[in-house]
Amino acid sequence: MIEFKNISKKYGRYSGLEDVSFTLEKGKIYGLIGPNGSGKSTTLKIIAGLVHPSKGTVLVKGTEVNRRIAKEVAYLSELDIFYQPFKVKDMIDFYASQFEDFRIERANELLTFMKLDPDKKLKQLSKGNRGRLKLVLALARETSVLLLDEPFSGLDPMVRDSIVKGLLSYIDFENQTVVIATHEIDEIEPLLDEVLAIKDGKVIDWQNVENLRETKGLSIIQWMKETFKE
Amino acid sequence: MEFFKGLIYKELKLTKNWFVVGIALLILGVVAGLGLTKYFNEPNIFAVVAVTILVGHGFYLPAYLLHSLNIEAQTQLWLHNPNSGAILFLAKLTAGFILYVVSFFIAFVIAIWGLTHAVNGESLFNLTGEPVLNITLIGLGITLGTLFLGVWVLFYWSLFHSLKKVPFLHSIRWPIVIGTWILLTAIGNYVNNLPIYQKLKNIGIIKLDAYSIEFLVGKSSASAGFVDNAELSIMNGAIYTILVIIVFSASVWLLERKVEV
Repeated sequence: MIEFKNISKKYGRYSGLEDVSFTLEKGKIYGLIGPNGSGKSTTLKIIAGLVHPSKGTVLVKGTEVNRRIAKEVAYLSELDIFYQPFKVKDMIDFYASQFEDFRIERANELLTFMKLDPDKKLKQLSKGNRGRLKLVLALARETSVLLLDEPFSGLDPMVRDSIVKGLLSYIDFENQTVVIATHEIDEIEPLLDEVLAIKDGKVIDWQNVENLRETKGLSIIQWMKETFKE
Repeated sequence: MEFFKGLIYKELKLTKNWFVVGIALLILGVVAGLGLTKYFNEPNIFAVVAVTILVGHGFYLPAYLLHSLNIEAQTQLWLHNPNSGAILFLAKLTAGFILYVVSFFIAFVIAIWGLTHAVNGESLFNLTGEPVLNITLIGLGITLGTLFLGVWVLFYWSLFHSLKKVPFLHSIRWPIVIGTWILLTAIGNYVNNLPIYQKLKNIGIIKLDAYSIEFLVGKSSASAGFVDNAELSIMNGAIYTILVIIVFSASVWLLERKVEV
């Protein structure tokens, strides 16, 4: 479904990613775990075609990735800036006009679920509600790939809870490949099938969450502490 | 075409305040021009203001595009879109052009109204030749000018943001853009002075003598538009059209391949 083949991304002398290769399968939820600056966001942006690798090839469903892979990939950014003069419903309408797979009924259902007022201006929304709206926009699309970059960053526990519930209710567990980049894994631990540890632009470990629990008796947080200890 | 309508709607909504401020400034300029004209009893002041506002519209589209693109540049998340870079840019050009036409029309009506009616009822404005054709040609000239400059803005903006993610170039992006502008201008001047280019320009010449325009302002007079012996070269127009297509394509290439989120 998603193939990374010897991907490197350089920013001058600094390496964002260094010779990374992996394959992510359909119908699984992956956690991309790592400290700030480890390369998690770069990885997601490369899959979304929003950052161009310096070396290597990325394929999504067998197609080489460029910016227009947005047709197949829903991407929730870590960034928290929207079009200020827009209302919530303007954002919904805009997405509906741009993405053929955007489902308005589903978006409205999600708005109710997330308790968002469609007539509210984006600049009047709290950070938590902007986080919820970003998720609405991503989950209202019927894509084969869903990328979530730090969906919980800076949000309070109640918002986090509603986001996890939203994911549980609206992810297509059979057909979607979901990649969640985060360093806050408390909330999403029960969702994940596999975890990839990224550090300094390299994948340093990869585990199946069930195996991790059954054979090593570790939770993801315990595994993370072990993997990233200095 | 839903996607294009959606992009246009987004553009117009994002730049609504900018447009309103532009119109307000335009009206303010006209009112100030009229006020000064009445106060000093000097009709030339208003003529200068009116012509400046009209000619100033040549910079309307570049200014609009810079404003709109700088909103996008805050995140560059507008690039998470399945449509081509050409469509994204064309939507901005189209939206900007719609606002340009509205603003230009308002400016024109106000200017003509002011020149013909507002100053002591005196007839200050007179067009020689064919007025409708004259005005159309002047408008067309300014419109082509603003479109030409607008496409160059797309190019330099794309170039500037292409360099953003290259650390050793990040801090010298402005000198690179200015250097590129100087280089391209020098090349343009060099080509323009080549004998072969001069020969090419002479293909398909249309004489515009009949379309000259003259503003008679009180006892003074000022010419605008095409002066005597002015010529329009079809070949030159074709060359500039090709140039615009090349610059637009280069901008799209940079946007697709080099600009990152």
